[in-house]
Amino acid sequence: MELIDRYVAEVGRRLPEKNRLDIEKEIRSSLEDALEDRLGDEIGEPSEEVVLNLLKEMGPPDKVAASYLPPRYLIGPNLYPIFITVLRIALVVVAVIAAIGFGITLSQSARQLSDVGNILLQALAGVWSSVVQVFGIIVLVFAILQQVLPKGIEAEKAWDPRTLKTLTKPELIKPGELIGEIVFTLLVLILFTAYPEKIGIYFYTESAGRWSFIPILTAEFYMYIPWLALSWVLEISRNVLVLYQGRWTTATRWFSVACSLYSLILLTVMLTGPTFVQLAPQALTALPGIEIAPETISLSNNALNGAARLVLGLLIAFDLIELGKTVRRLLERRLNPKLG
Amino acid sequence: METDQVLENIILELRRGVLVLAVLSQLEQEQYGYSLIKLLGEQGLEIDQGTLYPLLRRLEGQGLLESRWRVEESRPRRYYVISKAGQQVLVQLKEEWRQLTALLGRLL
Repeated sequence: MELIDRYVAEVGRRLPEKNRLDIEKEIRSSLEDALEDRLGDEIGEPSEEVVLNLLKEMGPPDKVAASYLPPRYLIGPNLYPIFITVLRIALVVVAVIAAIGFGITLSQSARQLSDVGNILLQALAGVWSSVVQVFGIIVLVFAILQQVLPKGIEAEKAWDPRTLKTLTKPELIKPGELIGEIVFTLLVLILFTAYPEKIGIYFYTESAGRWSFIPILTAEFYMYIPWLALSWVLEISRNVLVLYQGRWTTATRWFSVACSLYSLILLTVMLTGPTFVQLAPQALTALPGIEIAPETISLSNNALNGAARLVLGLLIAFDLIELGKTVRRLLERRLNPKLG
Repeated sequence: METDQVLENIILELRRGVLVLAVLSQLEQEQYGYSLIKLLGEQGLEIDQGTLYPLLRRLEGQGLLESRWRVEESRPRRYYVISKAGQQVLVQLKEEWRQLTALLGRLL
């Protein structure tokens, strides 16, 4: 009979305290009834084999205990789709914040490629711990909601088919727009990689009767060029890919998210880093027959710098909007897989 | 999944659906768990102990059965019997069953 004691205890361990004793008592009584029936007229203790067979028929304790309980969820099927949506949004926000933070740290401390590696590793460790924290908090909140929300409310709500969302086809592409973007990005790429020294201020001086030119990009900017080029190449490849496939896909959208994040990091580095536009001093001194007051030069440099940072700020804002749109499309697709 | 497995699952679901009806119909007179298994078994409906006992408790929780402990032959046993509400439900369930079998009879 010791086996039965062990079995009953094992089932009881998995039951809520409230009715544990009662269920234990009932299972024991039923098992004893069954044993008695099997023994028939035999007298004395049942053999171990009989008990073993009986318990095998009854089933594993965890299964038996589970059948006494209603299905229990940490996050139930009603809440699960919202949970996934919230999780995705939160993770994208974490990624954006991490990208911007990484950019700022990079611009303030890194001067060598080896530093970049270290900072990247640290940033990744930071992202990982943020992701775990955010995930944990969201799970906790939903687990609490699961417990406190009244059950079955969803199903009882009156539902009107007219409230269904109208279908849009966001993956349809606009080839003209894409080709325009490709050409523009390509021109920018060529300009900055092949002719960066030609970027500057051109002006006509009447006294000398000819055009003069002052380059404005500093050595700092030349450091950024390979990284900028990579960003543009990524963008062009994405657009070509989308054109080739003829529609937006989940893969190209994720690729877009990656491009935006990369671009955000780079732009933040530039925005918070040292000055990268300046009227080149040697060009100023070489100007034929023109004397420019030092204050004017300093003012012009300030204005240039301000304009450059404004452009960067706008580009960052643009990136964030693009990122938001892409993520929204990804979420819509997730919620409504029949789209398109 | 193998076809046999699929078939087995479907049969299991079908049987599970009618089990409530079978159990309610046999509890006009009070029975304890094991005696109910024997009773159903004698009429050809084999049911696992691990399935029946939780079902009895669930039906009691829904107010369709009533139960009480009684000591017999020096052993306590829990006796179940159909409640007033259970009887009303049973009448409707029987009617539903008749319609369903008639309908499926035409379909199959």
